[in-house]
Amino acid sequence: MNVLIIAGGMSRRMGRDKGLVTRPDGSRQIDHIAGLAKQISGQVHLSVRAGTAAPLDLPLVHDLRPGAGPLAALEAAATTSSGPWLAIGCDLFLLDAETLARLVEQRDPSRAATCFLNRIDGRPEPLCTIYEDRALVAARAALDEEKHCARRFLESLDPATLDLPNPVALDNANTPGELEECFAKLTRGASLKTVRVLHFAKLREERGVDQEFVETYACTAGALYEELRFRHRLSLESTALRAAVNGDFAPWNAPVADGDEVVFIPPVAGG
Amino acid sequence: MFSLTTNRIDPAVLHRAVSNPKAGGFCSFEGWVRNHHEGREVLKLEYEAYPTLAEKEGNRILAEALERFDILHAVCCHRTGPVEIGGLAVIVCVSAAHRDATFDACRFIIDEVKSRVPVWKKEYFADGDAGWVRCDHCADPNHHH
Repeated sequence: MNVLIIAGGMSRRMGRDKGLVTRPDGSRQIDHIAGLAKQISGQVHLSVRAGTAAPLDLPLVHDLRPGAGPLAALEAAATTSSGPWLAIGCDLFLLDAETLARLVEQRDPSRAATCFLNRIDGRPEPLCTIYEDRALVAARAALDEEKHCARRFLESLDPATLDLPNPVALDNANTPGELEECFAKLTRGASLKTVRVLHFAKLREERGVDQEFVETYACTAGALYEELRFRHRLSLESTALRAAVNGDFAPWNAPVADGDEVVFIPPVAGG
Repeated sequence: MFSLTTNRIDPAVLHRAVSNPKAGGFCSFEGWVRNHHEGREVLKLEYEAYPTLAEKEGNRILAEALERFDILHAVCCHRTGPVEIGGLAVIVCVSAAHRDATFDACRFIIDEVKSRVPVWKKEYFADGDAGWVRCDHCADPNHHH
C-alpha cells in the first residue's frame, strides 16, 4: 500500500501552513501524520506544491496540474507507482492509528475506493481514503472534465464505506477557530454531550424549531455552531453572530458542557 | 430597570419610576413603529427577544449609564410580539438634577440597547414581503433608520 500525504493546500483561511502547525504535544502536524502513515506502509509519499521546500524527508510528488486540488495530487501519485494509494489530508489533527488500521483492514479491493463517512452529514470523506487503480484512472478523467471536487468524485466511485471507530477522528481544521477546537478535543477528550439550543429570529425560521436538544462532540460554542450550520445548511456565518452560553454572552471558544443552554444570536435590531 | 413586555407600554408608569424630589430634569425617548423602511411601505412589526439575556444586558446598560452620567434614575422598556403602526416599541426615561445629563444618558441608553440587547425586529411589507431587519451599522450614531 502506498500512502500519499496531501500537504499541497494553500491553507488560506488558516493563514499558515497547516502541516507546520505545532500540536499540543509539541510535535509538528506533518510529523504526526507521517508517523501514522509509516505505521502502515513503507512507501509514504508527500504531495506538496511545486517550489515549496519539503518539510520532512519523504519522497515528493508534485502535481501535474498545479492548483487543481487533491485529485491532481492523486493523478500525480499514480504516475510514480500503481495503486492502491491511501490518501491522507495533512489537516486531520485528530487522526489516530486505530482509524487508519481499520481502513486498511477493511479495505474492499472489489470497490474503486474504501473510505469513512462524515459523522455529521454522512457523506464520504475523500482525504482518508484508499483509492484503487481504477479510481486513479477516474481521477484523471474527472480532472480532464475540470471536475475538481474530491468529495463529489469519491461519491461518483460508489465507494465501500466504513463507520469511524473514533467519531471525531476525521474532524479537520481550516480556520484558527477550528484548530482551537481540534486541540480542545485532543487535550480534553471528545465526549458526547447533550446541549439545549434555543433559536431566535432568522435562525429560528431557518432551523424550523425554537429549541432543540443537540447531541454533539463539540468542545466549544464555535464548533457547535459549525456543526449545526453544516448539518442544517444555515445561511449565517459565525462572524455575523454572537454566542451565549447559559444565559450570557460567551466567546466562541467558550467550552460547552453536557446540559448547557446555548444560543446563537443573529444581528440584533431592537428599537 | 430594563423590562420586556408583550402589552402596550404606558409611558406614565415609567415617568413615575424615575420621579425623585432631587430631580430637576427629565428626558425620555420613545421609539415608534413607522409605516415605511428604506422607501417601502411597512404594515406592521414584530419583535422577538431572548428574554433572559435581553433583561441582563439591558440592565447592564442602565447600570453603565448611572456610572457614566450624573443622573438619578434610568429605566427602559421594550415591546415584544406584534406592534401596530404608530405603536410604542421602546421607551427610555431618565431623571437627573440637571438637564444635560438626562439628554446624554437617554441617547447613550437607546443607542446601546439597539446595538447590544438581543431583540430582533421583523418587518411585514405592503408588497407581501417580510424579513428580519439586519443592520450592522446600528452601532454607528450617524446611521439612522
